[in-house]
Amino acid sequence: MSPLTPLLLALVQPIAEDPLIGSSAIDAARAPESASVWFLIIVRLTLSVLALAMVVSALRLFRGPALPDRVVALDLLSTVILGSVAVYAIESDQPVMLHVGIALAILMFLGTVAFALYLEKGAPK
Amino acid sequence: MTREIITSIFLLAGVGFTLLAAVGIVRMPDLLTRIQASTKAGTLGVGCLVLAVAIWFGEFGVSVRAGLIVIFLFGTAPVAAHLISRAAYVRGVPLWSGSVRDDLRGLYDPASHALSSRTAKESDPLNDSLGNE
Repeated sequence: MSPLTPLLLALVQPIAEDPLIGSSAIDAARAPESASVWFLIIVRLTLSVLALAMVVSALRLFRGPALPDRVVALDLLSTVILGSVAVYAIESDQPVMLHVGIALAILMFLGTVAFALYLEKGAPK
Repeated sequence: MTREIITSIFLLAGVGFTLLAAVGIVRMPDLLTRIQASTKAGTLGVGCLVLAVAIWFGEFGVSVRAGLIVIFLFGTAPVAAHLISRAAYVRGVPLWSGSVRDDLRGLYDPASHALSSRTAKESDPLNDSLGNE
């Protein structure tokens, strides 16, 4: 135990008690009986329909006649993935999944901008 | 109970709009109509889903993060859609055969991709008086 240990613990303490990133986020998950059965059914139904939307937009990704069609389909696909990450946060009672959503939103925008610049600077047809 | 009902309404609305966006991107006949289907409906749907997460948890930190996602999504989706459609138009992606009007035809410089503000009519008195030749 170094003399700095109490100081470090005092620094870490607010992080450990944060409901989003602390260890209590995983340990103190809500009791499963706090959600009623019909609500869980609606959440699972939402996840299933989102999977269907992913499949349908992947159809355009594989079939798109030109490269911009595929880029638009990829953009919509990552948007649907962002939505399903958010619904999974409800389904698993872990709001930490919203961090994944933030990172995904930023990456989605940067990817689309990079594709657009690549298209405009002369990608092979 | 009330929280579950409101969350369910937002979830169902969000997933409906998202499914509409996915159907629209397959069924629309043209790149630009596909872009407008996927961008508007998809962004609204996912915004509803993230708002449902904020309502369901009801904590301050979760709501701030969910609002951050919604603001970022609503701010960047039009920019991304505009960039993609501009690049596609400059590349010469064909429009739908039923299109009746194309205001941008001939206004993009094919080499530099700069958009000129000149109207299609060459002898426009307003442009001549402004010196935009």
